[in-house]
This record gives sequence, structure tokens and C-alpha cells, in this order.
Amino acid sequence: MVTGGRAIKPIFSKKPAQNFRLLLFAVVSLVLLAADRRGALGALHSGLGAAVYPLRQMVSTPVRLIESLQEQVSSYAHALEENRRLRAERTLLEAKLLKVAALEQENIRLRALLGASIEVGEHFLIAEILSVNLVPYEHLVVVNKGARLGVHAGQPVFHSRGVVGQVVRVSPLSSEVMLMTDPNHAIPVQVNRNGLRTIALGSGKTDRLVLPYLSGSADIQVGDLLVTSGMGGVFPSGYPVATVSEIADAGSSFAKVTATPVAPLDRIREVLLVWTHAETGPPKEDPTAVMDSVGTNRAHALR
Amino acid sequence: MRSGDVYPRLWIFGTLLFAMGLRILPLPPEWALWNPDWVLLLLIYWSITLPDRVGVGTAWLTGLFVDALTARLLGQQALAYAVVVYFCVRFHRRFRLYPLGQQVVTVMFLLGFSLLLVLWTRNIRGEDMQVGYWWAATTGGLVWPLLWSGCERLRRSLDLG
Repeated sequence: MVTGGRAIKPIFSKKPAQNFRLLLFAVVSLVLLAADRRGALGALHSGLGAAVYPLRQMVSTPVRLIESLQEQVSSYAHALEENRRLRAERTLLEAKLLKVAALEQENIRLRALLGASIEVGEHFLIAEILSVNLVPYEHLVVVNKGARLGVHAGQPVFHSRGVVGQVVRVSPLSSEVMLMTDPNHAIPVQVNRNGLRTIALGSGKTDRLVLPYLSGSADIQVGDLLVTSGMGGVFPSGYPVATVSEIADAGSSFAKVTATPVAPLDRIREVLLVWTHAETGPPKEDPTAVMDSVGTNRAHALR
Repeated sequence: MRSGDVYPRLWIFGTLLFAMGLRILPLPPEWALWNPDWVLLLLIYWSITLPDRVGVGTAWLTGLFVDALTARLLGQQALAYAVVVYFCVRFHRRFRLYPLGQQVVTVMFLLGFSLLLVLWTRNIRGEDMQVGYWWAATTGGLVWPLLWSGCERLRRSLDLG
């Protein structure tokens, strides 16, 4: 335009340009959408993800700071009590681990006898969830570890108690994780008690999974533990997912079964990124990488 | 770029960045539903007051970053923002003459239209649709008078044209 902001502007000069631009950008958007739905925009996502990461950190850091301050001013007595409880818990867990190590050895020996060469053991990397809210209705969280540490899309994400979800997108420094309660998420599970296999779908609520593909006569009870079945190849088998909380319409042809996730999905702050044995795992020199050779049944046995 | 251009651009960029921060504020889930689309509110404001600086292109690019920020498919918000800002630029003279009440209703309508466009491009299953999806448009309209007067003061005091 003319120099300075205050000058008189021609009234109709912009109109055709705006029309054309709108059309152009609409077409570009639709092309991008179509390409993205097919997963063809990995590099662009990675770049944009890196660009918005500082902003996400800027929003998350003060919230985290306030939370940690609250933790610090929580009373001495409370800390003492918690310390005592944690110490007791650790002793218990270590005792259980002793047994797990023995069981693992036995398992490997038995598998060797059978001629099945299944390698047990996965690599873990601890990641922190950023305090940002992406979209209501979609259960996506951002974690502070990314492609630079070997994180990749489709990678399972756990909590110390059970399954959390899977990585959907990575950028160099951060990645986006879809919780298993997202309406677009499905996870193959089996009933721990009898090995009955089915699929658990996200419900859109952080404390609920639904199991729509069970017949009314299926052997399933309230309180049954559901573990990953290992079908589908994303999640390694044997990790706890949820406990059955409600069974409705047991007499009809399809039972309405709902389950509560074992991990407290709305309260977790740290998660474990998992590399299954077939993959390489995180770089060894990273101090936060936790090498774990305890085995696939680790989380299960700890319960 | 002329040196006179840089100053307003920086301010527009700064306010948009701040709005993006508000967009991903970690509110509890039941409040997050009411969190309006601050980025679009500011785009509406700037495109009405400075239609020569903030147009369809700016809106589209901003939308692309918001898409990345909120982990959507790339192009969802971009398309919605571009369309809404197109109408704002087109009718900016008329809009500026509206009384405040009518402005609020128009802004609600624009935000709702953007939500509709995002919904259309999103492969969401029918049963997940809830009334709560539209609440953010309501709060967005209700904060408009505040945002308008705040931004007017900012614009005047900085002499952003």
C-alpha cells in the first residue's frame, strides 16, 4: 500500500486477490488433509512439531513449577510417611523380582527345550508428559522425548502399572502419544484368567474402555484382569491393560462389557517408552535410558 | 520488507503466539470444553481492524501452526481460519459499524462456523458428538467485548495503523 498505515486505501483493490487466495489455500488444505490421512507428511509434521515445541514447553514449565513447589511445601511429616511407605513397597517389589528372575531363567530354558527362540526383555526410556491440553475429546498427550532418542510412531507407551497408549507422531525433541482411551484407539487384549481374546476400544473417557466384541455367553467376570495379547504386533504380550468393571446384557448375543484402565491415565506424569526385543532400543549412552532384562512378564509379576 | 512494516507485524505475531499458548493451557477437562479458540478470536480482530496486513494467507499459515500445536491433521484449522478470515476481510467495514451485541453474535457465528469446518474435515464417529463441542464458540463470543476493548487500547497506544 501507500507509505504509513494511516493513508487512504483504495476500496476495491484487494477483493479479487482475496477470492483467489481463499481458493488457493482451500485447495492446498484439502491436499494436505488427504496426504496427512495417508500418513505421507512425516517430515512436515516433524518440522512443525519442532517449531511448536518451545511454545508447548513455555506453557508446560510454569504449571510443572507450581506443581513441584506444592510438592516441596507439603509437610515434612507427609514426606516422612511417604518415604516409609515407599521403602516398604520397594522391599516387597525386590523380593518379588527375585522370583521373577528365577522364573525368567526357567522360561528361557523351557523355551529352548521347545525350540522356540523367543527373546525376552524390552528396553525402556522414561519420558515426562508435558502439561498441555491439546484437544478436548481426543486423548493425546505430548512427551518430552522424540526422534532424536530413537522414538518412532507406533511405539507402545507404558506406565509402571500398565499400558498407557502408543506414539502416533514424532518430532526431533518431542512426540505425541495417543492414550488407549481415545475414541480412535483399539488394543488387542486377553483375559488373564482364561486367555479369552478380544479387542478393547477407547471410550473418550479416561477411566473407561469398552469391549464390544464379546458374545453374551463369553466367560468373563467383573474384576477380571485384561492383559495385552501381543496380537497386532504393536504391544508386547502380557502387560496389564484394564480390569473389567461392568457387564451389562449378559444374556443377549453381545455383552456390553466396560473396563477400567489399570494405569491412572488422568493423573500420570511420567511414562515409559518401550522398545520390543525386535528393535534396537534407545542409544546406550543416554543416562535416562533404563536397560531392562527382566522380561515380558515384569509389570504383570509386580502386581 | 519496509522498516515501517516490521513493528505492527511483530505485535500481531506476539498476540497470536500468546493466543496459541492460551489454546493449549492445561485446564481440567470439563473447563477445557469452554476454552474458546483464542487464536481465531485474535485473527478476527486483526483482520477486521487491519485487513491489509492480516488476510487469508496469514490466517492459513497460523492455522497450520495451530494444527501442529494441537496434533491435528495438517490443514484442518488452516482451512477453517482461512475461510473465516476471508469473510472478516470481506465484511470488515460493515462489522466495525455493528453495535457490540451484534458483534458478539457474529463472532459466535464465526467461531461456530470454524468448529463446523473442523468437524467436517475430522473423521469422527457419530456417537462421540456431544453438545459440549459447541460451547467454546459461546464463551468465545462472550469474551469478545473484553478482547475488542483490550486490543483497541493496545492498537491505539502503539499506533498500529
